[in-house]
Amino acid sequence: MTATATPPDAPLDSRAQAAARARRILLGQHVLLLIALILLGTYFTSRLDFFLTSQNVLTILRFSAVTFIVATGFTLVLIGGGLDLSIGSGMAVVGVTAGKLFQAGVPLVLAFAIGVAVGIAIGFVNGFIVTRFRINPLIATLAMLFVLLGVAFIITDGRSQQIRDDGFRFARENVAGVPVPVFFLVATAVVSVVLLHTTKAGRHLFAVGGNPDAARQAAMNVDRFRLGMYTVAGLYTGIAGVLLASDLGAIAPNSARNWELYVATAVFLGGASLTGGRGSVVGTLIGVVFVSALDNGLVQMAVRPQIVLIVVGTAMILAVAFDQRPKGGFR
Amino acid sequence: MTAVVPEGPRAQASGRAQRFRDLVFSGKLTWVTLGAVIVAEFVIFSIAAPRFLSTTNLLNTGRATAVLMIVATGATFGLISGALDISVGSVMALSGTIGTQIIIAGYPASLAILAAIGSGIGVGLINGFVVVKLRVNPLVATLGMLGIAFGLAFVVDGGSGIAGNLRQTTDAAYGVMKNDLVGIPLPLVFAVLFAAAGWVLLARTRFGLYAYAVGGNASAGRSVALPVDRLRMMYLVFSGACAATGGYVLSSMLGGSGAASVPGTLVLTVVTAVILGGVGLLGGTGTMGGTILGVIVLGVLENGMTLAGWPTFYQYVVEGLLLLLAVGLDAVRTGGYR
Repeated sequence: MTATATPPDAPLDSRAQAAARARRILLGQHVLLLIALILLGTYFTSRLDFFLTSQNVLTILRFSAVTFIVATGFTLVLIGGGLDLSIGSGMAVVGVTAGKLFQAGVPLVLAFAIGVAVGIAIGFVNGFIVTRFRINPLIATLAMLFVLLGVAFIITDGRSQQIRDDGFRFARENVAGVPVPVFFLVATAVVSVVLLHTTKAGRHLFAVGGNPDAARQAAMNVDRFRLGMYTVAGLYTGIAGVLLASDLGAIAPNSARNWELYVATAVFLGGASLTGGRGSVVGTLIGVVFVSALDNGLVQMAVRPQIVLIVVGTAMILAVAFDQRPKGGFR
Repeated sequence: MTAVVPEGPRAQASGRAQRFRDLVFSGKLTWVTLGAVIVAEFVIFSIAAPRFLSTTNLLNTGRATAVLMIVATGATFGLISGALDISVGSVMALSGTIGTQIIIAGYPASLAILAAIGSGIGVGLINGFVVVKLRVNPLVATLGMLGIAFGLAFVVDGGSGIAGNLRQTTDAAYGVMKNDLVGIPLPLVFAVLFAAAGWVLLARTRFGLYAYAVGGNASAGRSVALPVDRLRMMYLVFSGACAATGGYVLSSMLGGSGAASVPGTLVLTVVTAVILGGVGLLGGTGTMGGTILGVIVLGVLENGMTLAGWPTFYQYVVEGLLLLLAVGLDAVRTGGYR
């Protein structure tokens, strides 16, 4: 694998090479999306006095955090040629588990840790179903969406409850004027970029997703790899679920709804593909910020949230159409 | 049903156990499995809920399942042709809202019904355009449309959200689906006719035959000069029209509806019913008979669990596990996802 990864005209100056590689990872195909984001920001700034203040930008990032974390897990799975529709329900199960445990007197940190562990377990189950029972990931995770939604409601008996505890609501705090979720966002982004673009496992993920048969011929254990991939995605679901529960400050089984559309939009805007082998953390980040900024700006312009749905749906279709055009697209 | 054709390498093997395996994993068994599930449901629920096995309740189940049947008919054509249309729930919301608002504005019911179903045809045309001209994967195209149509429904209904379904119309012609026909709920009669028409359309006409051709192997279809793109568009339009019809029937039963009248999980139930019924995810396989059984399984499940006093959310778990079981059997048979 290493031989093919090295470009044929390896430059002598390794620092220039590293810089070029960093540029490719960070910007690459996202220039258009960045331009779109800047245009969007410019438009909102011209219409709203409040839009381009540090306060509002932090608000946008704050509301991006949960979406970004779960979208990153979604991106990893997409790159590996899978799909995970159960993210929303998974987050709900994680959140209500942590909340219920905390309510029952389990120490805060332990409750959150168990929540994250539940997320990992959910990811493992997804991967197990896909690799062992050979069920198409779309259907496997659709079924899991149902099962987990049911589980979240069963755990809570279908009721939402407030948890009025500052420790549990750590995601509502600020540190040095910056909302806590923003730190999670930055940490997730950095760790994920490193994992995906600098490690062998990260490179193999692209190989497995792009062409599983070729990966098998290169003596890779594709199934074990996929199992690991879903489990790691479960970790992201776990962290996002805990963060969401903390931010809501509640046990809310119905917090699962409708994440799929927003997350999928952001991820597809960011250049990932349904057919696997393509996608990036930075693209997903820009995609998430784009969707959040759109949401934020439109809501401030007193546009009804349902119209945001129309805009988001249209944006996703156009993004994918535009992205797939040169490659021939769906045939 | 009797002659089970064994498939794959197992065909050479002999012995009773082997024959049993072949039976369990052969495609025809989907129907037998679903039939057994339905029988099991009837047994369990008639024990758990004494009122379950009454004529009134069975007719109620039929009424409540009618909408699912209508929408699933369209989804069957869509998925066989290779397009998983997940915008159907939003199309239902849009269709019902448009119909209701037209009635409220004082126009005749015929216009409202036409406009409601027309909205589904319109959405289907756009879906088809996006898939065929912009070359977007149908799953992504209809996911986008899910958001768009739902948003539009809210716009049409004045953005009132949940208040949407409080706007009752009293128009007798629009609300015709509240009535019974010789003791049988009209939605049930309509759904049965609809499913029967769908069966004939799928099994006996070129429109149905070409769905298998397009979904099974699009490039082979192209090489025998099938207008694959136009056909794909037609199946998406058909799917949208069926969803809109289901939306109208629901709206009519409720006596008017808004954007929030269609539960968000309905699309998942539709997909589950169709896939339970044996329509392959990659297109090219499936029957209306299977879909009808899948719909009955889910409809009886919902009614029985409610009647037995089990919270509705247990239904999600059972539904998900059923879906996994159905697709798992299919995967073992076909070799599954690699």
